[in-house]
Amino acid sequence: MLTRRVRGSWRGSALTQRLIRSGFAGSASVTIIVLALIMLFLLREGAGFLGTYRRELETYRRCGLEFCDLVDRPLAQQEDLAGSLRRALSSSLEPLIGQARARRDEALRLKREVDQLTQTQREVFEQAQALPAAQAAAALPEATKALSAALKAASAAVVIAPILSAKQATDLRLQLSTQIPGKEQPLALINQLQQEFLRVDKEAKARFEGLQEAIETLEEAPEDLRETLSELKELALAAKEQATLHHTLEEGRQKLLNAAQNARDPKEKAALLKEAEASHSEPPDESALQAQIAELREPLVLHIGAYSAKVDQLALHLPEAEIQLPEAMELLQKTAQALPRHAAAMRASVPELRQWKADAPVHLRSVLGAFFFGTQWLTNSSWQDFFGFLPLLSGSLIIALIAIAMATPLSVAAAIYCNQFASPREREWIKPVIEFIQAIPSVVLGFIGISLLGDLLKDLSQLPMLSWIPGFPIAERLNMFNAGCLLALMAIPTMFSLAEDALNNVPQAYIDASEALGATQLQTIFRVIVPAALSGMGAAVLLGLGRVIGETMVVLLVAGNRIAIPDFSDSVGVVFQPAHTLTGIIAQELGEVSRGSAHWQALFMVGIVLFAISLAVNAMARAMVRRFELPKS
Amino acid sequence: MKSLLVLLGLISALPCSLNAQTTLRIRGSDTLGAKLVPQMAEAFKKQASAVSFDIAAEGSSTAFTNLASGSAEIGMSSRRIKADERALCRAKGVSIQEFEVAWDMIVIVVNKNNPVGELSKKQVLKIFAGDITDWSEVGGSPGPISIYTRNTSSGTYRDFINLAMKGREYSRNSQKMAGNEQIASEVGSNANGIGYVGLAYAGSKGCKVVSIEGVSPSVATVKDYPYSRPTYLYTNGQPTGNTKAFIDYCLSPGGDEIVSKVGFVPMSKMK
Amino acid sequence: MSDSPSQNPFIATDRGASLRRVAMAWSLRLMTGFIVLVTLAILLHIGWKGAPVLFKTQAPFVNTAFLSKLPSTLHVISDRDGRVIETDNRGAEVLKKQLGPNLREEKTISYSGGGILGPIVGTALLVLVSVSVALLLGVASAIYLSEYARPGKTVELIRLAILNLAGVPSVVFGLFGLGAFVLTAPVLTNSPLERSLLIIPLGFAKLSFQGWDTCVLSGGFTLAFVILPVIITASEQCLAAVPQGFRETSMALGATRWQAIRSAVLPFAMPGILTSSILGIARAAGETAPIMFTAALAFKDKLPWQRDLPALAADASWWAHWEQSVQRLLGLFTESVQALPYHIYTLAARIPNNEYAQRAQYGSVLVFLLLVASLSLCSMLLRRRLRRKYKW
Repeated sequence: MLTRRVRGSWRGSALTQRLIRSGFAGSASVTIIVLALIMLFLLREGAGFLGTYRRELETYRRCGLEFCDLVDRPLAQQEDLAGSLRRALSSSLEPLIGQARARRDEALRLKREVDQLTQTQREVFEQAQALPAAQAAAALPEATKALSAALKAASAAVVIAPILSAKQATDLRLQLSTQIPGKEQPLALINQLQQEFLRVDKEAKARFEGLQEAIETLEEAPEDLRETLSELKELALAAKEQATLHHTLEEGRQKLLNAAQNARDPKEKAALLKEAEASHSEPPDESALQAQIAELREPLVLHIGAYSAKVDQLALHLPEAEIQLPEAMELLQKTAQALPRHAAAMRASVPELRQWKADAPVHLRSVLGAFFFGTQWLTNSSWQDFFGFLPLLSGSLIIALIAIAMATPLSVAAAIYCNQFASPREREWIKPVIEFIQAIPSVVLGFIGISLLGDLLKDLSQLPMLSWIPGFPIAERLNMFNAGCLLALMAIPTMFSLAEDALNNVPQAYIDASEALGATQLQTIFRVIVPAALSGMGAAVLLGLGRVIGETMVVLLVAGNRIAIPDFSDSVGVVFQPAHTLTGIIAQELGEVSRGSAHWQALFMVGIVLFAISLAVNAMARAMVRRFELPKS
Repeated sequence: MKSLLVLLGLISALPCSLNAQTTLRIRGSDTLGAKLVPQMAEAFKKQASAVSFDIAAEGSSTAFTNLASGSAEIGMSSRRIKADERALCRAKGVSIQEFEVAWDMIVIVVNKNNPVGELSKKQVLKIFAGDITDWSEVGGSPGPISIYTRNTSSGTYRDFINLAMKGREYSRNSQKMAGNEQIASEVGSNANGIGYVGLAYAGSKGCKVVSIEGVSPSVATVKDYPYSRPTYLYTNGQPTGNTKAFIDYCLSPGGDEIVSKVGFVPMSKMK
Repeated sequence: MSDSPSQNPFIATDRGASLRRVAMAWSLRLMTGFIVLVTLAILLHIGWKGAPVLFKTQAPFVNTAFLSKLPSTLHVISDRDGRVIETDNRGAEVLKKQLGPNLREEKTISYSGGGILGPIVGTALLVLVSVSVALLLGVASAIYLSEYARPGKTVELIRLAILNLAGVPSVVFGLFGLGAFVLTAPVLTNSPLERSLLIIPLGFAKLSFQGWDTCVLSGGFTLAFVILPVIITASEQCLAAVPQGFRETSMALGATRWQAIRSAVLPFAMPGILTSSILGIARAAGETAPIMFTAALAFKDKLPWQRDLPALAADASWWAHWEQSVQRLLGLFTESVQALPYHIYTLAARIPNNEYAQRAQYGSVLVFLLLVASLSLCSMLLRRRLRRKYKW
């Protein structure tokens, strides 16, 4: 149609040509527009975050929740300390009572197993019992027979661990085989084992009275403090609830009022105004709360003092003499060192309490800090939501590092091999397979992580000969390492083909010159070709990193979704902990939050950061290529 | 050019296609939406085959966001609506109507090889809050406790805080799982795992139900068990038409039968 | 490159050097082999577990039910004689009546029964929308870049944008799609929603920027931008491969630039563009994160074209019939659908790992993988053939 018109006149043709050209130019610039739009929409939804979060933090302060947290945060350590004392106790008890408990548990396990094996017959029997008397007389004997036969077979079949002596094993089999409902023989052996365990347990505990007392003291020490605190907390929560309610209603009312203003129909206007009136609410009065906080402040300080004194006292009187086991001793010593620190932390909260003001403004800077350097991502909480970015970032980074650390050597090796060593035939095989990895959808790899790799890694970690690896045996099958492995596989094709391109781009003159100088093939490869291609490979690694950080489905399914900064005390073993990621949190939580809430906006903020990271990685890769560009041969 | 026209046509036709809905869109709780409501829907369709269902179960919070934005006819929730959610719906001109459909019990599950068979309420609280971190502290064999909780939008997540945790937060080391089934399968494969699921998921492979204060959860003990809770369906205003028919069906004896088959406690048992 | 040191006349043979070479070659080969092996192992594992679901030993050798049914709840009924029967909702009802008191227990496993027709159809629709949008925009912008543009700031900027767009994480595209298409894109309507950003009255209706809601259209457009960089790059390569002489000859004969492109360049580049865009299809079909918030649904009991529309009266006009069929057609694109990748996500994350669920899981994964793999393979083979066919 267009061309026909083109033939018409020369002027028209020029105009049409320009039109066509600008049409194409327009669609070419669509990529720029899309990038701009992505930024725009992310900002539109996410930009309100700072304001909303600031308002939430203001409410948090005004309603006194922050005041409670000043005490509550350091106090949380008390449970940790009590826990490590309890662990010291249980690990000292373990060698004394372990045997007896294992025997009892084994017997109980066997009973469960036999029960399970004979379940069908038991059901038949119970049904027969429930029948009216006349029918029962006919059915019952048969059912009884079947059940007792099954019981015999099952109790003979179960495998009994050697922890029970041979006699105990035979006794147990015998007793288990006669467990017909209604005519049960008492399970004498199990009872006996249970009694024995209780006796041993009691005896063992008697040897650690000092430690038990210490645990009790520590557990009871903050009771007064907690009581006052929980009184305060209730007040604060009630105040916060009122404040949020008022805010939501007020927002709705404003919307209705706006709508009423724009409404043309007087009837509609009246209805809207009436509705607005219905959601009118009084702003909560916080002066009463302030007064109560002020009133409770001094008692709280007193309690803190008393509590810290008790803790200090306890630190001096830990019953170290009772403990022999080295690991228990270590726990006890650690606690003894931590207790005074804990007391000091509690005391340090007193001046903060005194200085705290409900109406101190929340600075925008501190809101930004709370997002970018916050260590807690806590949502839908009954106390206070926090949107701290660090736990997610740390998870994403560690997983990406694992993936890159695994993918880089593999893909570089494969690229060098394909480029320099492989026969054309081999190359024809290897390249398509590696390129095919790109076609495997990420959700499929995530599924592999859940269904195959997780269990494989976990079973592997339980092998005794691998126990020297830090972090082994691993507790969670879904962890950062698992995700990292799969992401490495995903990154390999990208990195491989870019690295191979880099090797291919090395000018032939370099190679010729090197060979002319008498270098061996290895020398040519590792002293000439690889160094010349290094910048390209660096870019490949960077682009792989970008791909890995931005990947969603694998980390969502496989990383374990634990929102906490990983515990680095286990050095390299940290990689076997679960974590949550930037991409995963968006995918998991966005579908569940209401539009415009702080949570929604926080997720878009995470999206903005991800977008910025991807742009930065791209820019870095380009800069690297340009910086070390080879002279054209 | 032509394709652009088609595109415009498509876009312009959107509204008329959005209006004629005879589909019931149900959004909300995973506890209800993974088993109970889909099976209710399947059974209901046998009576009134003209209705079709769209069910998405991402957590109770989504029930109210969807009701408020008009993108669902029915919301399912395993917890009662919060005051600010009601206010939010109110602000969008949606008045929420509540129906109790069934009672559920939050069951604490551990791995079947775990010797611990009973816990006190205090122990449960301390385990989930992260105060107790080793099984030996509650009489099990030594090993670090792995805690599995639901994701934050879940009603079970909130209900458990209210019922069992006295308002305290979950331990930082807890892992957030998308659904009941996922918790059950993780606990089933981790010897040191503990988690909570709806009663309907208690029988999952590899899991063992823990009795609380001596009460083991079952239909008979619903009133004594400490972590029992009602579950709800919500609608926008008084239900009419298909919505009403479906809700009526859920509350009928036929619905009750499905409720107990799936592993919830029917309302008739609560009277 | 094939000269080994021994053939080099200028150095003495050095056994150590050749040993080192062999050792190096072998260690690199092992590492390469490791990648290949892991990939093959994963594919084999999926094939091994999924094949029994998808294939049968008797004709027609393919489990047609799995491919032609909608996903539904699986009922597993066991009776007191130890028999275990798997069936759907309807079958369970009948079976329970038959068994009566002989029924021992009934287990239900969500999403694991039936087949995966719904997700397949949904994915096909999403791909259809996304590839048509992406081809339209992608080919046009490739033509501009390779035929019209002169090197300069603009082109540089566009290339930079393409590179950056290719690096944007898929979940960010999801956020973008949610913000742009689901919540803001324009619709013609008489009663705009409250959330509408801007309302332009047009006389017969209002153009309201209130978004398309989650539907195939939103998801397809989002995916289109995910695959746009792939399509642009591939198309540009194909256009560049057409010899310059074709254009010059054509223009020397008096054709305008557009005529030259239309008659002398595009026909030769098009087959290549289309085959390369198959790669785009594979990518679009495989992405999950972008459609999570824009199009996908966990459960839907009807196919997109089975919409419930009010029954027409017997004497309804042809106009009413026509209107309804148009509505039915449009309904394909204006509703949320199940999609294969999202279905796999649901199966992997939402239901337990037992033998019944595993079948649905591995079956869907295998079908999905076969689909994506055959697309990529097609594209690879076609490209090779084309390269042989067009040699300039």
